[in-house]
Amino acid sequence: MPIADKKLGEGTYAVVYLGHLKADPKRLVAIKKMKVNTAEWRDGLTMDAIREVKYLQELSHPNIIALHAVFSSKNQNLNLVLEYLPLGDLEMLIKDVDGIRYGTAEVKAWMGMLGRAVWFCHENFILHRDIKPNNLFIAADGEVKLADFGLARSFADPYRIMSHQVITRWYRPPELLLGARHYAGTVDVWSMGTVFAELILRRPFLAGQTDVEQLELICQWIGTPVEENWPGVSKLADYIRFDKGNIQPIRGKEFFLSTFGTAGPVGVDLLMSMLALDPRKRSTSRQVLEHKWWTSEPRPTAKEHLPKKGGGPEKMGEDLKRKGGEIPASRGDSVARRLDFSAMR
Amino acid sequence: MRYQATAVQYLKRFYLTNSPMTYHPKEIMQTAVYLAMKAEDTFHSVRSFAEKLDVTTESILASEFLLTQGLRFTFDVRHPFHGLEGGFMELLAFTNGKGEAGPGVKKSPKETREEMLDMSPPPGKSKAKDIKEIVIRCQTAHGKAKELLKTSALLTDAYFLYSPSQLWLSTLLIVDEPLARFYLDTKLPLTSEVKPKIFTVLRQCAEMLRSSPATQPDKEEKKELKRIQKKLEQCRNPQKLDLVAINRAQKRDPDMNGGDGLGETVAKRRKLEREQSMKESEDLFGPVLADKKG
Ligand SMILES: Nc1ncnc2c1ncn2[C@@H]1O[C@H](COP(=O)(O)OP(=O)(O)O)[C@@H](O)[C@H]1O
Repeated sequence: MPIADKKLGEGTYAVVYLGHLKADPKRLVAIKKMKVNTAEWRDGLTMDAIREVKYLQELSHPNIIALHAVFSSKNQNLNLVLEYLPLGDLEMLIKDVDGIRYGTAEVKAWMGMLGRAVWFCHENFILHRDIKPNNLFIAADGEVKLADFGLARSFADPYRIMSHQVITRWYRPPELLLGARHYAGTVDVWSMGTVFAELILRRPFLAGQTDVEQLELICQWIGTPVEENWPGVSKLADYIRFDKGNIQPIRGKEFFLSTFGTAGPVGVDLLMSMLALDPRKRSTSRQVLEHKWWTSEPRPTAKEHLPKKGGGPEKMGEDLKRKGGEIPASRGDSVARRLDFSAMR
Repeated sequence: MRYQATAVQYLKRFYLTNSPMTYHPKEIMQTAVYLAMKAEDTFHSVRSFAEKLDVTTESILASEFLLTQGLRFTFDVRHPFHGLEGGFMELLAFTNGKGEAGPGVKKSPKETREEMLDMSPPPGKSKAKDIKEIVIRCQTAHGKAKELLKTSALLTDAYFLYSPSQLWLSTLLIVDEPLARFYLDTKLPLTSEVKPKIFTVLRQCAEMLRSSPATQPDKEEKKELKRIQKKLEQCRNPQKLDLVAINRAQKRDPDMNGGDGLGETVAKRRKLEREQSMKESEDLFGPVLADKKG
């Protein structure tokens, strides 16, 4: 039985507490208490809570946050007992440009863990639909853990339409921005590609302030989606006829090498395959794992040697004190939850 | 529809550990459908849902948490529908001469196609003249199997006892045995040791599916249903008649729900019920009559 100790953070639909097992006080857990019937939600259990419980209960993988138990409490709240992940998230590491240095070997280690998590979801017919650095938590031993399954869903039955209002804007693939209602695991692969780019650049790669601007950035940096490079694209619901004179052909390897050269030519090749405009030409999560970048030099850094925020487990206590107040303000998740990205950051 | 199949399984799971005398299936059923819609991404607001059923939104939401607890928070139901579609697509690929046999099976796509033409016909039918007839045979089997999955597989306990692939394969066995045999012989090598075991399980599963009650009860069954319904009204737990009121009270006074331990413990619930009945016995005219609107 878990006992709640102190508050770790708060999101739109949940408050997260640090807890420990009654039988073994050294075993720490995170207890995520889902809120019910907020101002915007009067429909009972939230979709977020149902999805998170539904999918995390089925997935058991070293790179996916573990759900140990679910229990109910006063006020008919759902409480999720989650694996406690004390070292923040990937976004903190990326942002801490002065404090944390890393190179290709580290990026390869983090991307490898992300790639395995996403592949495992897809192998189990689950789309995550909200992959971004601050949903990638870091465990005490440096392992990256994919978290926040509040937007996840199972692969649709054939012909069933799905919402295109998913995935935080900066990580959203072009087909969703263009209103596709049928899509596949490749939406998550695009997000993975933008995370890869962000890890190298140490700032968000395509940071549009509006959906239109997001699409413009994609045209500018990757290429303009047209029938020639993406057959069928003009039939998507929100397709915009791009100005003939303004069409940017798909960027070639030279261009990517000039921006992401530190990943090396093989790494750039993988990045480009994840950021292919046409989802049919984009790598699947399995193809990502089969790419030769993983087995070429340099080898990925061992997880125990990866740079960590806050100097590892010894300093954990102090770290937590700061975290409670500090993180919620910097997270954009709450905005994504309501599927209105207009106010982001 | 997927959510309907999920809702039926929620009901079945819920009544593994709850009695219909405590919670009336009619009420739980509505909530099961609503919860299944949410879990299967077919969300409708509770208002529009309640309007369609002509009930109050409160009556839907009142038992949502109860149901969730009864399900032990497992929302995922594995269905056989995707498997059936996949198998059907494979069968069609075999007719096209494009299907690859399973690992270890030494049959070329061409041989596989010819074997299909050679398949013994379903009972009462004559042998296929050309591949078109085989395609139609696959389509017929697919349609019938799907129907069984939507009815018998849901109404029996098959979901508890068999895996999704066992479920759809046994429906294929029921509707067209030679086709099912051909399929398995093409997927698994002749020498496969598991094949006899698979067939034993499929036969057991098929037997269970055949024993399913009809989806449309006949006159006799309807009469029996009425009788049971009447009887149920007489032996219901009086304390659980009005779920809406119970839910309201719980929201007002969360401690009624039994602390923050792992679910409502039996001991606490008993104590609660004792206190409740003591309070009620103090009331000279007995407990308040339940408001049956919900
Ligand atoms: N498993 C965990 N281990 C440690 N901290 C966590 C864990 N889960 C969540 N947190 C903290 O609680 C905060 C709120 O989490 P959550 O409700 O999931 O956020 P949101 O609703 O914004 O997605 C997070 O910012 C994070 O700092």
